[in-house]
Amino acid sequence: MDRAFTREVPKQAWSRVAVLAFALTLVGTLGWELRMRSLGLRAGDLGDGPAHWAVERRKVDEGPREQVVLVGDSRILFDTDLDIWKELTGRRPIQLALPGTPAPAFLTDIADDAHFAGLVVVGMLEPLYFSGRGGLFGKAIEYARTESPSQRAGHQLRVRASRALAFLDDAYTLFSLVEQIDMPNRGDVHGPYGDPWKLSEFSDDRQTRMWPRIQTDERLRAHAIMAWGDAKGPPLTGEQIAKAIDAAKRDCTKIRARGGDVVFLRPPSINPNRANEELRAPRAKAWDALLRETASFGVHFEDYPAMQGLEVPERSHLSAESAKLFTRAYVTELVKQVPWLAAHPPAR
Amino acid sequence: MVFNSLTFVVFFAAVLLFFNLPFSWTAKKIMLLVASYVFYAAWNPPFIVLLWASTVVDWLVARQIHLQTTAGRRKAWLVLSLVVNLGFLGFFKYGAFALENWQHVISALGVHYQPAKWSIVLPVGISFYTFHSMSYTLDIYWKRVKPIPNLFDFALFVAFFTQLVAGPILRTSDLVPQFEKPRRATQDQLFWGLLLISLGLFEKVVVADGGLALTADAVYGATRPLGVADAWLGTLAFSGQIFCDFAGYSTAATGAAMCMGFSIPNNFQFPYGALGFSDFWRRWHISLSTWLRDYLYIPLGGNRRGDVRTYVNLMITMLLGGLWHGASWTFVVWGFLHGLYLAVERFVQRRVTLRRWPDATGLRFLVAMLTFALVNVAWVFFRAKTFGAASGMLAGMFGLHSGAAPLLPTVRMIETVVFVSGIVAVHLYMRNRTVETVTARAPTWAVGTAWALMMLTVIFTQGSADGFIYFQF
Repeated sequence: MDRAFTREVPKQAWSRVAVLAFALTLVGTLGWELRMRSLGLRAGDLGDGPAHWAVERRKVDEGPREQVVLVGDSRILFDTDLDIWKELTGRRPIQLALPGTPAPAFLTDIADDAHFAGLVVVGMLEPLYFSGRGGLFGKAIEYARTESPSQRAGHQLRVRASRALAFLDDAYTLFSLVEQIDMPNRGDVHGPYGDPWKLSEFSDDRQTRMWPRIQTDERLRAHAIMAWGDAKGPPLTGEQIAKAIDAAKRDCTKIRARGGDVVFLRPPSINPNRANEELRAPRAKAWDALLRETASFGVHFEDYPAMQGLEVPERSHLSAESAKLFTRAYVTELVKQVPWLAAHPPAR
Repeated sequence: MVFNSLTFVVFFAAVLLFFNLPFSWTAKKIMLLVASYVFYAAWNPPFIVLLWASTVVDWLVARQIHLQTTAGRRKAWLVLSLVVNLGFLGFFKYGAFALENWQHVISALGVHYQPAKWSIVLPVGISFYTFHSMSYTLDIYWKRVKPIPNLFDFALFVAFFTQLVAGPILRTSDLVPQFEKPRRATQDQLFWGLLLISLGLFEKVVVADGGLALTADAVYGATRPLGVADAWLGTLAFSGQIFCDFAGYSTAATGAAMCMGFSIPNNFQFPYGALGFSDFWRRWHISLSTWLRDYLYIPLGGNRRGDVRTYVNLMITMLLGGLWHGASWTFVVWGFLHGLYLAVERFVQRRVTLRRWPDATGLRFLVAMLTFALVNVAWVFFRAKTFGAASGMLAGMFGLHSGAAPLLPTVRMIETVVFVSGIVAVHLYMRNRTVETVTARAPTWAVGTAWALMMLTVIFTQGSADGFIYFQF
């Protein structure tokens, strides 16, 4: 008793419906695009996330063994200018740092990659690095390993679209904008209004720079400062620090056994954030101990005059111009102090 | 590949373009089959082999069942089909669950056994295409349909990309006759199909992912006791999310098929406007409920073997329906609750004789809200990962966590109330209507504007190409 099911199409003047719908959609999208551009978004801001990270991670495996890789949180991500790196060393590092995400799991990922025999620069915000947490993008490694062909193709399409359309920005979706409305909450509830909003722009190779509006717009800057909450939080325990140091020792040993090296970098922050970071993870117990135990070279911004007086608009990350100065200063120091860089000139 | 991705936009545009070029019908069907396999393999290429195996085995077995003259041999071939299909499903979907339960059982007997970790990836949509394919051999066995002479048409029926990974679960009689003659969408079908895709994406991207998912995730991810408001809002958010996620997929699937001139039946009919649970199951995941009715409940005897047996059959069907959704006892309890609701409803209906439903709108509204509330209670077991989490959520919903600290921010509470109220209001209004009748009666400008608003909100929401919840089933 075979039967062919036939679906009804409602009676309408479909040509007129379609013309009206597509015309309104086109006009609405153009209007939205113009509005977003007026808010400071720009085409070519490619965004960030696990798919972008996966592209960079593949470069580690597909490129030569001796490469420079940056891991860490948003500090090294915002505060490093890849072009300056290239200018000073002839190498453009692979940017694998992720916002709100501590470096240890990513250092381990590189240490476990037998193909890698390069230099790892580990960015550091001590309360995050030693926390033992997975962080905001802790699943990026898993994503990169299991990314489907469809996801990979979707990412490529999204990047192409982002080069032409400014409104494609995770921080300016319809619901992100709704959640930027300040509303009173019950009790101590933390709402999305208190989360960080757009802080950065991204170009090719995950080159990240502070979004210019953070420097020019008082309200956005004040919001970012509020979102960081002065970097307050519970102090790290000795156990947390010891555990992170043990893991770093294992990873450094593995990488150095293959001819690579590991150095640490502490980018700037300013008070009251810096003071609270120090309270939560005193330099002597955390940073100094880490360098000592792993027998590593490290650049701490407090130790170098060239890294003082930089512009830190929301107390936590450098402006784009200051990021260039900071990169120049710390890479200059690495070139002087890290034999690996001199011993492995980039292939011509 | 998911509908809410740029990859699908490009894929579907290419399929539509090719489908409308002046090639032979056979060439178009070959393209559709290849496209369907690409659609599936774009998630995890190796698992395409399972789809092929399921297709070839069921096609060959169905032919053998048809050719056999003795009941024993027919049954033997059917058993082979069931073993292969349910074997795949059992291994990939229920292997870890079975192993874990086996471990509990022998541990209770004093034997301590620690098996190796079960780390098998669940092939996306395996429950759907297994049921698609299996329905064919069962229909042949029960002589409901004749064998499909062409493996190619059967392969296309199993793999047709629009409904491959999340349904609706079709029968061969729904789709295969449509493959026999060349099809091409009329202009009206094309536009209506595109509108249905937009509606499906609006439900998924804007309502499910944008408006409700974060609330449901926050509440069901909470590690501390919750108060009445948070627990109910989280559960209501999930109830709206899962409807819009799943119905959104089905609507988009229907629209995608319509754009090529194919007709796929409705999988949802405004279930949150249901008056009672038998009404709910005539409206929720219709293709699964009818599949379970036709291939499980009726073969078990349905309601033909007395009252007690009817209740038993009902419960078996709903328990297995629950297990179909996921390898966890929480899904079984979800099925049990729906079985219980249906059994109680049947028991009451057989004893309370109403000549007809009272006309009072207020009473109907109360029954609908009671149904919706009890459906939400059952959703707790569907969404919670463990019984501990489910019981904690129910305790919160029934006010047993006095003094619990609030969790949800005001903006998420407002979003949930607005979207869930909107969904329930639409379902109540549309109870006895269809999208087609409402669209036909609406002015042209209103249809065009509503369509544009759906497309614009989808564009502005910038979906993150998250998978559909039902892919995991």
